[in-house]
Parts: sequence; C-alpha cells; structure tokens
Amino acid sequence: MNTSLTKKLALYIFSGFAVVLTSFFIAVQMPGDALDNLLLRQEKVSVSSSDYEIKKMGMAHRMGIDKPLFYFRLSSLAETGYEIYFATENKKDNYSNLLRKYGNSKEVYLFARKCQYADEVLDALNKKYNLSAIDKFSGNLQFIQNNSAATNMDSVWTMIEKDHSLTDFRPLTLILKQSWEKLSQQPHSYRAYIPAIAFSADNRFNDWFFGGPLSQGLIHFDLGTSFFTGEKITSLLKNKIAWSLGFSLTAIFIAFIIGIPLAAWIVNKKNKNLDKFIRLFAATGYAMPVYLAGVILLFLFSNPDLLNIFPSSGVKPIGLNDNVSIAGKLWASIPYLILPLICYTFSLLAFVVSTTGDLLRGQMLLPYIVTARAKGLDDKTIVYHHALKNVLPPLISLLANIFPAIIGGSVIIETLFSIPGMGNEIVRACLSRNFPLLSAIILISGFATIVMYALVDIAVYRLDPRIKSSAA
Amino acid sequence: MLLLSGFLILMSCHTKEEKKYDVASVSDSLNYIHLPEVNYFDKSWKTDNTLMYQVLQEPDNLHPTNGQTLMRLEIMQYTQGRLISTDYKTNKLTAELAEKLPVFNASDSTYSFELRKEPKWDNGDALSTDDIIFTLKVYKCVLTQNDFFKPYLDNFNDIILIPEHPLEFKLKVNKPYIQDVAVWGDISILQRKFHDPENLLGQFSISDVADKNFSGKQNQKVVDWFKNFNAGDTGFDLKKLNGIGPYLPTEWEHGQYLVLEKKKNHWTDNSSLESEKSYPQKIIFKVSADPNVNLLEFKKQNFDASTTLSVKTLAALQQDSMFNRNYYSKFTGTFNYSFAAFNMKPDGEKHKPLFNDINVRKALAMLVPYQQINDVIYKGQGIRQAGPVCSYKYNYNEKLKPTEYNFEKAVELLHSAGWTDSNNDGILDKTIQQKTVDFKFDLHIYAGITDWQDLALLYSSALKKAGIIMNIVPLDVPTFIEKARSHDFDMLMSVWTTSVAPEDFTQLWHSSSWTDNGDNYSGFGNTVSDALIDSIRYTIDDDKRNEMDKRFQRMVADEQPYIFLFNSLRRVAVHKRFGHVDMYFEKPGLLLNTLKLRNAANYVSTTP
Repeated sequence: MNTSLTKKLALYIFSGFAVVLTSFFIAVQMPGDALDNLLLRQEKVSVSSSDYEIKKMGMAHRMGIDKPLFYFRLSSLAETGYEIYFATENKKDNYSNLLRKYGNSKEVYLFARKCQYADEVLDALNKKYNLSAIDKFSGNLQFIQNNSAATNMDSVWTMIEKDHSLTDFRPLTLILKQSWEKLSQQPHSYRAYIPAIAFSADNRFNDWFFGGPLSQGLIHFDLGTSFFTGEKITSLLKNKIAWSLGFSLTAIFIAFIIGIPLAAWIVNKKNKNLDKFIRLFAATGYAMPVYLAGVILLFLFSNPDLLNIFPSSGVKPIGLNDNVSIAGKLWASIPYLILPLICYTFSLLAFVVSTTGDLLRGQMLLPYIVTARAKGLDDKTIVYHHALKNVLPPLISLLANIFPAIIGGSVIIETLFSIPGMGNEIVRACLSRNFPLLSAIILISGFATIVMYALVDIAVYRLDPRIKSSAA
Repeated sequence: MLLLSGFLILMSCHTKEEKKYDVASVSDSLNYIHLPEVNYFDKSWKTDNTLMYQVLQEPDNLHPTNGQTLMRLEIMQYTQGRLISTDYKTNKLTAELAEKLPVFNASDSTYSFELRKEPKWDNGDALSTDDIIFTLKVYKCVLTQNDFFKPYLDNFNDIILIPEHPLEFKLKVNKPYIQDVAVWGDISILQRKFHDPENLLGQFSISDVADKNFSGKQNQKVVDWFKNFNAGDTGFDLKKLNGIGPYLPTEWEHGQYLVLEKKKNHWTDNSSLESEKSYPQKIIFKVSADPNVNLLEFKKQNFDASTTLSVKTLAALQQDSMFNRNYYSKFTGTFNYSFAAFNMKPDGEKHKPLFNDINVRKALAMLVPYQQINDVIYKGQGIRQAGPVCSYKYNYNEKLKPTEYNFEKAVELLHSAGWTDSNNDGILDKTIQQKTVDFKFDLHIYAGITDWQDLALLYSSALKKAGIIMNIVPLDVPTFIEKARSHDFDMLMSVWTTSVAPEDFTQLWHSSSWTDNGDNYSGFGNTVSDALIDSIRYTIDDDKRNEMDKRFQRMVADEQPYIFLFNSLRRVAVHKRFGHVDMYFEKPGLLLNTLKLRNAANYVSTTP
C-alpha cells in the first residue's frame, strides 16, 4: 500500500477516535435530564419532591450518572477534590455558589453531604409519622440548601432552635450547624480564583468506553443498555440498521444504475428539449421536500378513491409466518417497499442525473475529446467509452457526501411509512435523552460514513490511474 | 411537475360530502357513550375476528414492573391481572382479582383483601396469596429497577396472612392514604412459581427487601435473579411474558405491530361479568403515527379502532359518508385538561414579576379567545375547564364556572394593576423596581404539537389587541420540564393527565412542591391550602373528602395560578362490524376485549 493510502488510513483512524469522542459528548451534553424523563410517569399521582430527589439520586448512582463526565475538567482550586451529584439544577448552582464564596471544598462537600443525609432521614420519618413539624423542618432545610446567603441561614437556625415543635430535630440541626460553622468560619475564597485541573479516573466516559455498571464497554463492542426500554442496544439496533442501510444502499444503487446511463444517453442525444425536460425534472426532484413527495405518492397510489395499489405503511404483511423463506418474505414485502423506496430515490436520482450530465458536458469540451473526434470516433463511443470513464471518479466521490444525507433524510420517510429504521430511533432517543442509544446511533452513523469514505477512496484510487502514478 | 399537476386535477375532481362532521354530544352520559348496533352488515366488511387497533407508538417494553409508558399499561390490561381495576361505566374502583373492594381496619391500620377463587394461571394453578406477597416483594425490592414506581408503594409495610382463610390477607400500611387502594390498579400480579420457582425471595420479608441495606445484595443467587429479572429481554422475550389475563402476546415486530391472541379455556370465559368477557380472537396493535397515513388506512378500512386520531384527521374523515357508514366515531371527553401556568414567584431578574398581581392573572384569563380556539382547533366540541378537576369527576365542584372572554373587563383589570400605555407605543408598560417594563413575555409550549402552536398563535393575536406581547417558545419535552421545575419561565402551556382515582393535590399544588422544584410550576400555595391538601390526603371517608376537594378547587380557581383551558378530547373510531361499543371517558377510552364481532349472517348484506 502506498504512502497516500497509508496517510488516508491514519486519517480514518483518527476520524474514528473523533467520532467516538463526539458521539459521547454530543449525547451527554444535550440539555434536559434523562433521569427526569425516566422518573416521570405519564399519570399524575402524588410523589413528594424530596422522595423524588432521593429516588433520582439512587438511580443516578445505579446507572453511573453521578460520576464526572470525563477524566479531567478545567475548574478552580475550590471546585476540585470532591465530587457530588445533585438531583436538581438549583442545588447544583447553590453548591457552586458556596464553593465560590467560601472556597474550602472539603467543608462545603461535607456540609452538602450532611444536608443530603438529613433529607433522607426526614423523608423516612415523614413516611412514618406525617408530622407537620417534619414538613416545617424539611422546608427550612430546603430553604437553606436553596439559598446560600449567610444571613438567611442564621435566621433559619434561630427559628429552628426557638420552635418547640422542632425539638426532636435539634440533634440533626446541631450536626448541620456545626458543619456550617466550620464551612463559614474557615473560608478560603481565594481558591475560587486559582485555576486547576480536576482529574477523575472513575468517570462516565470510562464506563462507556471500557465498561461500567450498564455495559461491558465500547471496547468490547457493547453499546450499552437503552435507558428507556432496558433493552441491549446491540439487539435493539440490529434490525433497524438493516432496514436503514438496506433502503439507503438500494436507493444509491438504483440512482446510480439508472442515473448515470440516463445522463449519458441525454448527452449523447444532444436534444435541447429533452435536456430542458430532464433539468426541470432534476430541479423539481431536488427541491421537493421528501415528506410532500411521500404524501403525494400515498394519495395517488394508496388511496381507495384513486389508485389503491400499494399499502400505506409498514414493511411486511402482519402475520407473515416465520417458516416462510427469506425469498418468500422479501416477495411478500415488495409492495410495502415500493413507495418508501421511491421517496428515498427520486431526489437522489435527480441529483445524479443532473450532476452526471454537467460533468459529461464538461468533459465533452476537453481537448482529448476533440482528438477522439478527429480520429473518427462516433459520439456514442466517445461518450460511453471515454468521457464516462473520466466522470466516474468524481461521481463516486459524491457517494461519500450522499450517504450521510440519506441517513438524515430517512427520519421523515421512516416516520411516514412506519419503517422500523434508525431514523425513528434517532428522534426518539433525542426526545427522551436516551444517551446510550443516541451515542450508539451517532457512532454507527459516523463509522458508516468513514467506511463509505474509505471505500470511495479505494474505488477512486483503482479507477483513476493518475492517482496511482502520482502516488508512485 | 406534470405528475403534480395531474394529482391536483384528480384531487379536485373528487367530490366531498358537504355534511358537517357528525359528532354527538359528548355528554350522552356522565361516564361513557354507548353506541347501539346498526341494522346492516356491509359486504365490504371483513368477517374475521381480528381487531386491528391503531396506536401512535409501541410500548417501551412489556416488563411486569419496569416499564412506564401508557401504551404498556394499556396492553397489559389485556395480558395481566390486578387486584383492583376501574369500572369504566361508573368511574369507580372495582375489584378484579379480589372478591370485593378492601375494607380499612383502623385498629391495626390494615386493608383486608380476599382473593377470588376463579382466577387461574396458564399452568392451571390457582391465584394465591403467595403470588400477592411475591408481587409486592418484587415491586418494593431495592434491586428492582422500577424507581419511578416505588414511591407509590412506600406506605405498604407488610402482608399478614390469615391461616384459617387461605384466600384472605391483610395489607399493613403506615397510615391510611387515599390512593392506597387505587394504586393496586397499576400493579400486575406476578406468578411466584413462574418467576421464582426456587422461592429465593421466600426467605426475606417485605420490609427486608425494601431496606436500603437489603441483605440479599450479598447473596449471589438473589443478585443474579434480579439481574435476570431486570434484563431487557424480560420485557421483550415473548416466552417470558406471563400473565393471568385473557390474552397472550404472540408476535411483536418492533416499531410495527404487536399481536395479542386469546388464550384457550381461560378462566374468564365463563364469567358472568360483561367487562371480563373477551370476544376478539386477536388484537393487533399497529403502529401508525402519521395523520395522512391514518386517514388513508381508515378509508381503506384497514383499522378497526383507534383512540388516538388527530382532531383534523377525524374531522376530515367524518366529512366522508362512506367513513360514517363504516365507522362509529366520536369526540369524547377525558380526565385530562390543558392549562397555561403563570410564574407567580419569578426571580425578578431573568423573569419580571408580571403575574404576581391576581388582577393581571384574571385579566390574561379573560383575554383568551376561547370560542375562536374551540371553533378552530376543537371543531366546536371542546369542553371548558373551570378548575383543577375535570367536570366528569365525581368530586368536581359544579359551582365553578370557567372564565369567559371579556376584553373590556380585562383591560380594566390591567389598568387597575398599573399597566397602561404611557409612551403610546401600543404596548402596556409599568414601573417595576424603578424601571419601566413593557408587558412582554415568553410562552413555553411543547415543540411539535401543531394544535398547541395554533392555540398559542390565536392567544398571541388576542393579547396584542390589549397591548401585550407574547412570544411563543417551542421546547422539547425534557427542556420544557427542566425549565418548568426550576421556575425558569414566564408562562407555560401544558396538559395534566388525571384519572378516576381519588385526587392527591400535593404534587401540583402543595407549596413544598414549588420549593423542592417539583410540579407546582406556578408557585401556588400557602399554609391554609397546604393544610387542606394534607387533610385531603389522609381522609378516607369519601363524602368528607369530596367536600374538602370542592373547597380546594374553589381556592385554586379564585387564586388563578393557571388559565384553565379545555378538557382534552379523545378522538375515537370503531368499525361497525363490531358491536358492544362503549366509549369511556377514562383512559384508554375503549375496552378492546369487549368489542364483539357481529354475525354477518344475521343481517341483510348491503353494498354502499
């Protein structure tokens, strides 16, 4: 293998790592909380908020979400050394405020942990006794945690100590008060202004890549478990990848098999009207939104009031027996696949015809074509045996750009025709913040694109002798 | 282009009926609408006893404890059994696997249950208290990954058996709570011998398994058992989906359809209860989310029933005489309602205190163009919501009246609250914290729901006439909820789903639910309302509690933390080849097992 391809290979490997990192960070950094999604029921039934927080923290711990994101992060000296997970953004912000104000990370951490412990104690007591005193104390505790101003805290302490109904909570109060005094009387606020790098070997990326509570790690080809359904992502995506890739590759194949000869024929014919018609078709096909095309096809060919030829949705008839052969299944599925395949293909076909036609016309003006004509070769031979060969490498290069576009466009087609592909899953994963599934899909799409680029490079390398010789 | 032109010509040639959408009054009955059978059976109608049911999405899984979507619950209604369920005709709780509704014993803080003798598992074993104990252990165990559901079981302590009455047991609770009985409607009873043949959990008590420091965590067999139980395929592998219900899942093509088949010789076959009779041989839940596709599928009679058609789709279908000939269809009420919530306690910096004055809130409620919204979005069938409880519910305060549109009164209220157009720019303004603030705010809505965007646009136009500028900000669900709970909004629009179960107002209206960043988005609440909510929670006596409920509803309505908009409509269609059609207001809206295929031979076949 020559240097050029070796360099490309190195680039692909580097791209692969970039895809791995990108897929992880895009998935985890989306706004919104995946755990809130999981914990929210669709029915309204009473759950106390502190209970919700405690359950959320337990779940976060079980799933490894309470860990830092990556091996290191840039922060201040005040914020390094201790990691703590909060169930709400509000508490996270207040913790950060305390750290910035007082700087002594250990004391702030201990205070926050004691507050969390107090939450759990109160929650358990509340379930047993339902005393308004517990609610009052719990409310005060929340107030303390939600407000970092020292003056507020002093008045809260005074209130707790003076209120006789809260006598039973004095020991708990004392613990918190002592922790608070240590925190506030030993401030090192300057630490908030000294940058530092916090390092943590036990982090979410490490779990995701090397193995953690929910998976054996990407390094063992385990994509993890779907947050939402509990299913292994590998088995969840197996069939979906097949459908999405199947449609995408079939569409590309049809577009190229039909588009290239069609474009060559048009150029050969040299018919201006035909040329105009094809350009118009290409422009329409390219401009028409996929959804609109799908709906038009459905209303034309799946409508009992017009032509009722094809089914409206699905990929196969219901109840198709498992005992039927693959060929039999494919034959039964064909009517279901026609309309979605047309949707996948038509704009791609328009693009290929248009681009091939333009490239061919460009070729026909080059000196070697003039020479070929001078030698006495007919137009058909010139177009099909000479010009077309030179147009293939740039056309094949286009494949690399087309492929990710098709995957993206498949979302609409899959939703419209109820195709169980990856497009549908991407939307659901985004909406539900299903981070393992989302990162898996981005990863697979990214790697598929890299593989496509690699195959295209190899194909172009083989097709174009100029690349071989210049590399040599 | 030619194709498109041809299409447009063809479409314009197709004649449409001028008939208005045939929607019956949604108040035929308080709780359900019964549709009598038609006296014909069309030749084009299928005669197979398979019911094809359209759904928008498939369930997350069919795991007995660890799933959470409504679709899962709906399907498990046919495959599983529960101690308690809902009588959809009376909207009251009723016994299902239990002999009757449990009785609360104040002396020992227990509920007494008795199991029915008839229920049998698929292997012929009778339902027993062993199964009930096992079920509660699994649901409460710290190793089961059903964190979202555990809070609802925290009140349950133990199950006490009565040796002389093997089908009876007592459920011990910490203290009586209004939803103690209702929650059993969401608990699928598990067969101990199927799931835990070695009785690994038998050595632990209910409180043991619920303990944070559950000793079973040190027992490898127990850990492995739960690992297996929690594994994804427990909710997907059809061989593992065991239940005492009349149907069994036999085929599941993910993203496509799920097939339930009627079990042979099921114990409910001889039941005298109509609600327990299961007529369809197969029920197929077919996923079809696109409204255009649904329109075509119903025209082709490919679906037999649906409760999730869009308003526009059903309204369009009802214009078609052939559809009306083939299907029953109604817009029915539900126990869900839409609302717009004010942020009554903003931080004052990122969000100005626009809505802390009750006159302003009332004014904004009076500026909603309710009639226009009803006509455009709900096709005239919308039912107004007056307070936090749906008008169909037994505890609804009938004296509450929904706010009506009143432009003049609204302007008067705004002026009295200090909002005037001092600089004549067409926008109201006021001095707040020594700054002149224009009356402009953001309305958060869920992205992707066209009806709500339309509603928001109509409201925005109406507000503009009064000098108020509202920007519509669509957000996806997780972001919307995060902002709502952290009070990072001015106003938001959403919907609450409720049910026939007794109301516990804590989650939405207790002040602690605001301070803890819960679902009390608006900041409603004070010591009086909190005390009333706390009393309601633990008042078991229905009559006493209903009175308190009504008082609470008045409190909320008077304070106006929300603009209560509309009761959500369910759009139901059922093919007329089925009889016994009752459309219920409580979800899911239809009981598919009770739809009975009519005998074509009994009718003179007709063609359209």
